[in-house]
Amino acid sequence: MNAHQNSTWQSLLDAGLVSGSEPPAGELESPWYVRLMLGVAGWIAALFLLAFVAAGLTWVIQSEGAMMSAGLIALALAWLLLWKFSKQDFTTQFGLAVSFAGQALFVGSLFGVFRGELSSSPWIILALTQAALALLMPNNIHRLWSAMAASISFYMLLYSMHYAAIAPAIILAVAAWAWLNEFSWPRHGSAIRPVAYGLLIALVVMDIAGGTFQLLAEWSLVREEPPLVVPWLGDLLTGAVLLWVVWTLLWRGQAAFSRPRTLAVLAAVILLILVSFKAPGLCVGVCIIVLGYAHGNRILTGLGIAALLVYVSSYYYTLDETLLVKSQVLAASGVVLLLARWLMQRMQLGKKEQDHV
Amino acid sequence: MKSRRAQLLAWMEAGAIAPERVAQALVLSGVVPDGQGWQRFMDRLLLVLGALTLAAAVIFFFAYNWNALGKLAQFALAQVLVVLPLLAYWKLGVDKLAAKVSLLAAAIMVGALLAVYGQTYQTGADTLQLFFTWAVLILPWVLVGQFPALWVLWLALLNVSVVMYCLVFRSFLWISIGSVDQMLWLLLLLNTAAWALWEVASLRFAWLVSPWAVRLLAVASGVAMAMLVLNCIFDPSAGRVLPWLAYIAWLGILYFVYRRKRPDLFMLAGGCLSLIVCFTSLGAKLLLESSEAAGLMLFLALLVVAEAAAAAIWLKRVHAEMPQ
Repeated sequence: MNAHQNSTWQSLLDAGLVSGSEPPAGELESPWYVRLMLGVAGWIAALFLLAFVAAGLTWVIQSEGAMMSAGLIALALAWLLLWKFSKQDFTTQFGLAVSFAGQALFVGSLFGVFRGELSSSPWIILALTQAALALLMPNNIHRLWSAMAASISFYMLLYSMHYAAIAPAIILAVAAWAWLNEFSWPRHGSAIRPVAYGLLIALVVMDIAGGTFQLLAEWSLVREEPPLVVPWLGDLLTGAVLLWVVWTLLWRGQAAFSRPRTLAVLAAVILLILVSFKAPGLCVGVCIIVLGYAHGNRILTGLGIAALLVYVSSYYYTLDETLLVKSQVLAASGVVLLLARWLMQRMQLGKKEQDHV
Repeated sequence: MKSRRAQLLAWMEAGAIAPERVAQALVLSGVVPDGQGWQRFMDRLLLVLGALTLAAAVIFFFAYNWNALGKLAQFALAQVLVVLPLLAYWKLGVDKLAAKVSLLAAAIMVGALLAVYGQTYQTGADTLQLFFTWAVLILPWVLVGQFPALWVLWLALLNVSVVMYCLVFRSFLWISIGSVDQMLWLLLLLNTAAWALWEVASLRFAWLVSPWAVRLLAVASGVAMAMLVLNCIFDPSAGRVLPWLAYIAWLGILYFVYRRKRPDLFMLAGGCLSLIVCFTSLGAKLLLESSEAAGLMLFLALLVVAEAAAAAIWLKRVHAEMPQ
């Protein structure tokens, strides 16, 4: 045990927030890069398993029914392995590989069944299945992957229903709700965190991929009717999620801001939402950064910074607006942000002078 | 090492902190920020985000009007974008992080200036010249900047230059570069030398201590090494013995330095992934001709699972032994 753990427990003890001796250290959690390495290995093994099915069990891939049954059986087997042998590395790896292969078979059969029919049905089934896997599969790598896959399927589903514009806002809202309540269910935190990370990574991936998902959706769906919701509704909802997050954090009183300062923060956020109306990715990035900072989570803060940088880069290539309009949106956002900083500094200075008097 | 946040989460999960006291415990232990922390955070966030969006707005604006600008204006603009960050570097005080970031921005903008030059004087699609000249021109700043990110940029430019040179000229200095194999050797030598020099120099110069930069170089070296081995496995015309000898030496040094001398789990995890990929590929190649496809695929799937599980067990053990 290191010195900082010791001193942290002691200071909590002194403040009367804990009692007794420090609980024994639990199992050391692997760093993210070790988990990433194991995830990559899991996918490689899954590809070989799929090749095995394709080469040795050809009757499985020749019939959609057999393929779906094999996929579901593989998923059930994976769940059993991950649940029963969660402490055994070999079985965990095997469980991951079996599950990834099972998912691929399931997806293959699903799109085979709905081939030629231009409907949202496969995306509903896929989104629900991945959401269920994110909650049920007792493995962090799996939860993160399934949350990502569920988010992307959800986007495709809403695209097929002509509501694509509001998909990112809904995904952000669910992720923000999970992070804001991270400490409310401490015993379930280790299961909820990977899901919340997965949702946010999916948002960043959507930014990176840009129009790719739209192309994928257009390939599988013919959209003759115009969207049922105007694109700006999605931008407004994204802003509303940011406002809700900031409001919740201010309401908690953690920052202990004075009333005028609280109002100034809220006014600055509303102004940012309004000026960055046509660049909602700015609100997404700020929201993730604020959530990360509020909970002392550096990985989340880093993800927010990455989301911002990725968004600004991909924003250059979007075709919705001309570069001139985009530059005006960005300039207005920049001016609002710097103005808000200047005002806050003035307020802080005024408070200090008042205290001094 | 467990962070303070991870430690508190573990205590909460174990029920050692009552739910109604969690908020207080988080503030007291410094996991979540207090009022002052929030003020500092907002100040920085507003400044950095404001500067980023304004800078992007300027770039977007000039991109929109690019064709309407005259050649002279285009050059003037590209040069101003180099000079402004340099002035900021000088004004801010060379030891400050903001000054170093300004110097990095100036170094990046030199690339944009060279691109404008290439576009104006129609130097053609000679990307090799662009990247190599860029690396040469920014070298003095890299030397005086004392900033790891600048060195990483410079090394990245050298890597791109090597690739371009080999693809265009198919020979390097007096050595004929006839295949991908030889280009990979050059990249391996460049990145491994940079990695080793960085590790040695960081013992003497504190500003060079930068785990992310060393890890990036290690990844570049590891990718070149693994690709050489894969090329050796699958390409009958490639060298047979030398890549394997180099790979064994590379793995041996990696193990000795990052397991025995200065434990680093990232490096060891990278080595494990490289071994899994190379060993599985070797197995696939050796068995491909003698086995039937289905059985081979099942065997390879199980092999990868076994290798990953063994790596996980070993890395867990090393992690537990590392100073907490």
